[in-house]
Amino acid sequence: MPALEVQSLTKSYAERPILRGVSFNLNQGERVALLGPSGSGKTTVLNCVGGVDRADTGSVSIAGHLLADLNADGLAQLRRSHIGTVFQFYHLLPTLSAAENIELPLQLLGVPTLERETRVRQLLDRVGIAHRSAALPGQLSGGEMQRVAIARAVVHRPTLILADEPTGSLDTITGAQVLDLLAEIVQETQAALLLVTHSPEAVKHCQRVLRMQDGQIVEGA
Amino acid sequence: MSTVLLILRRCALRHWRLAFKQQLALMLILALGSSVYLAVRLASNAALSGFETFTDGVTRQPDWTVQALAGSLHKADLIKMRDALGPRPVGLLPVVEETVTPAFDEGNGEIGSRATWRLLGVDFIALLNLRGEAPAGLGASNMQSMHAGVYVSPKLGAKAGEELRLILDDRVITLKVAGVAPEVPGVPSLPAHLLLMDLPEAQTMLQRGDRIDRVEVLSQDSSLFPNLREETGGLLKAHWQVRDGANRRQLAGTMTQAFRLNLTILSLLALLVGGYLIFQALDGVVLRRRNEIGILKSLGVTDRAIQIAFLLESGLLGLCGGGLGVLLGWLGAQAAVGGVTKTMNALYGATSEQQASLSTSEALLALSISILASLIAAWWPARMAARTPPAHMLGHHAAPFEGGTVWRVEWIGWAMMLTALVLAQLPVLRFENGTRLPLAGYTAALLWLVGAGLAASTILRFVARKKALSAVWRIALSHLRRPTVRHRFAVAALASAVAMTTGMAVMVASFDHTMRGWIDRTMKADIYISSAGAQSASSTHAITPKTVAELGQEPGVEELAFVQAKTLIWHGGEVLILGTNPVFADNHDLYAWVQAPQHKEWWKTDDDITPAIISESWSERFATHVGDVIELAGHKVRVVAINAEYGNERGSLTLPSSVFRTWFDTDEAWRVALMLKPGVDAETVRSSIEAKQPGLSVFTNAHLRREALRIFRQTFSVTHALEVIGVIVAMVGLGLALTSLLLERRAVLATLHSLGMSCREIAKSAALEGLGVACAGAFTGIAAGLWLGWLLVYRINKQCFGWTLQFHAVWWHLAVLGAAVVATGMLVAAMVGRWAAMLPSEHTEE
Repeated sequence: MPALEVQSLTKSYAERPILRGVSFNLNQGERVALLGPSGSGKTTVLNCVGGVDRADTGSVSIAGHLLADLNADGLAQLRRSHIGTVFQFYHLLPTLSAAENIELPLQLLGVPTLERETRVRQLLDRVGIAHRSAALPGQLSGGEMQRVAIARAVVHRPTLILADEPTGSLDTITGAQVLDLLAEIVQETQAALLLVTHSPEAVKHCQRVLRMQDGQIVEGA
Repeated sequence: MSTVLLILRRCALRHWRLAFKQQLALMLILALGSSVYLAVRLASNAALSGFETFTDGVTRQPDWTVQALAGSLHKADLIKMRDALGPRPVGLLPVVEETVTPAFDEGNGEIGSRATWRLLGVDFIALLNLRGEAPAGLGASNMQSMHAGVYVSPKLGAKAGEELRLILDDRVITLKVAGVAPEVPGVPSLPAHLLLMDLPEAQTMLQRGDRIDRVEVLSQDSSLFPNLREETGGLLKAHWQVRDGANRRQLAGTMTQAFRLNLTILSLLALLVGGYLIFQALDGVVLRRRNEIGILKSLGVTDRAIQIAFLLESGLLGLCGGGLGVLLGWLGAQAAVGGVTKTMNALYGATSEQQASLSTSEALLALSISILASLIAAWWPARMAARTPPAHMLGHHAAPFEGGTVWRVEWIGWAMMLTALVLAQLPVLRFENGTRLPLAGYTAALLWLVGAGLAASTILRFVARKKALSAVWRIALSHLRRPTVRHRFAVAALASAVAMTTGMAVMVASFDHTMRGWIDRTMKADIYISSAGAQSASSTHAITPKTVAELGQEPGVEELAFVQAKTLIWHGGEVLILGTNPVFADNHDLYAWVQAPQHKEWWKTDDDITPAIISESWSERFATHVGDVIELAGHKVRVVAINAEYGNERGSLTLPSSVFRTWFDTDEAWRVALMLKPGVDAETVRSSIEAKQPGLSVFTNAHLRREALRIFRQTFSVTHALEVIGVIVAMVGLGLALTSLLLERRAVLATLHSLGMSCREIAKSAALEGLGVACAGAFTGIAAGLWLGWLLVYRINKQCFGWTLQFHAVWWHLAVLGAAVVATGMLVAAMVGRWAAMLPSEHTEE
């Protein structure tokens, strides 16, 4: 069963078509880059796949769960158990420490405290910021914040990781380090990765490239 | 300036059009604040003006009003005055005045519910000669009718020849309407409830003989005496009590000071909370428009232009809201004037119900206050809009609300509270007429309220110490552990509102508790009797000795005692002089002593100085103490004791009745108390007396106690209403604050969505956050309110009115208040959270 199955997705905003029949699949452990010029519909695909927006027509299935069949609570449940997201601007909760941010998805899933603490500690070590575990996001550098975001995205062992320009706010060296880390971790967890990017460096870390233009997949599907 | 106008026209006003309902709501908030302020002010002014307009319509504001030092003036005084004034062209107009009650108006059995009219006996021919024209439409042609009956205003609705049945003192009398004064343009008309009579006829009817209540002095134009008015006043002051119009207004003002102060404070409170709501609302507006502000800035619009445009928009909002407020305030005043007049009547005496009129200055004042409130409220959001860099405005990260340092430093709040504690120990400021201003006390109250608000965030951190059990709790508590300025502001507003409500509740409860104790101590007679026209605690309607004797003969009566009363002006202020039978009072232990007399038989003296008891209000007002010898109406009086008296804030002095009779040359009683024989039913005796004496109001002990407490509660009814409004507004403020917080946190909400939190969980987290804010606000508010209550009870109230109250808090009442605040806060927060959770997330927008 594919980790992600997207079929004939369409979406319009104010009668302006954004997606015009997008279809593609992602298998377990596969890393796929989604490329395309601005306005081609990459972020909309990511939103529809992540269950934070609904497509007009077509279907999205994650680990066999058809998103169209789920109500708002069902979508939330799917996101917390099967999806991990890495954003360009990190989007860490500013009032939670690095460790607390990473712990949050586990807490949402009701993982027992001891297990939570163990997994968070392991991930903090893995992403190399154990010494910054008590720091608030405001006290971290961009690279550190993105490491926390990656740890948060994988801590609950999701089926699918969605990454939206994860290096877009980082300098070249830090960006490269973050991409290496993301690729390694994805490989370790065997999650599928859909990476929206403009960066040729990021593309190198992926096994397949999907190219979008004017709301359609024009290459790689 | 053109840029500012461009922003205003192209951006702000278009937002108004697009979000019309929101703008209307803002205008209504402002209108509510300014209208409450205006309505209370107009109604209070209208009721107050009723104290003086009775006579001004007739005498056209005399230069001076002359009264005896004690008791009445005699005819001979007129001659003395004329001699004292010499050749000066001054007219003297003798007047007698009394209140009467229409017999047909039964009221509803409550004190103050019956109408009070005023009967004025004036030498009409002298008046015509003095002014050269007839006042209030009275002309020489209809003067003839003045010799029989009364002359009335057309507003009364009576016709010439009709008979009016009135209660005068303890009698029911019938007066014929001799004529109705026509309305004459440009001439002040007679007040609706003024009955005008010829002086000799009025003197006969009022059984005054040759006595006169006062003489109105009217100076005439004269080139020979350029300082005529001042000279006249100076000459008369040597022998009599002399007051001018300003003095009379001041006297009425002083008399009703407590009541009006209460209303003014409460109306200012309404404005304050209105301003707070505007602040919260405009803060939200800035947040919603931050993209637009960012774009304008990136296009080259200066920070200053942005700030001015926001202030102008807010000023415009204030203008529209204020305009609406003036209209609503005027309408509200018409509705409120009846209630305010009724309360003033019950507390202070006869005032006529006036129509609340709106002057240009009052309207402008309300409008200015509304604009000022909205400008002050908008200042901070406008500054924030101007100072935030465009990159923050346009970026995905909303600029956090920085606020001022003062909001982030809790020790400033603690320092203010400490200063309040020190200020509370300072004495009251004293002025002439016994007027006092507890400036230090008021400042302490203000500092305490603001300080408690600033310090309340300390509690927020304690609330947030709870160990998080779930992700929802963790997120909610994490926000409280590191509170933003918005959190602090919401807690401060809530804490201040709850503190004010608690403080007022403690004061009212203490008053109620003390009053009950005082009533138990002093009201021991079975039946109390006064003139049916006595509609207030300070009314001096009299009961004749004949009627008193008849009451003593009533079957079932074991013992009778009466109190005599007269008002005097002492040190420029009105005071009440009482005459009692000290033996009766002593036998029945009727005094609640603040400082008991050294000798049980205090009324006995070895020298020629009269012993007297003063009330606590007198002692506080005039700084008079036991042992002091004072000069009163030409007599020397030694203060031998101080008693608690909560029916009169002006102060009273009690003399033995034998002395009172000598001073005032009267045997008339003010109040009569009857002790019944054992087993006699008070209600039966009451009905029997009322049937025989229709001019008297007869109360059983239980009924009078109920009435006393009802009047007390009526006085504080406005207070309770505005307390509730205060808490509701704080709740709405909490909702608006949370709205701004969540709007600012849209990116975080989107992240939570991405992490798999459902809308319900996000709403729950917001509700828990609101619960924390509400708990901190309620806890701090109640704690701070208890001290505020202490300040009001032991300092401000004592310094203002001289009453010692026992501190009393109704704990279950406070618990209900706290629970209601917490529950409502949580509910409001849950609603806002639910709304925010449904918003399209910021970083998912295309």
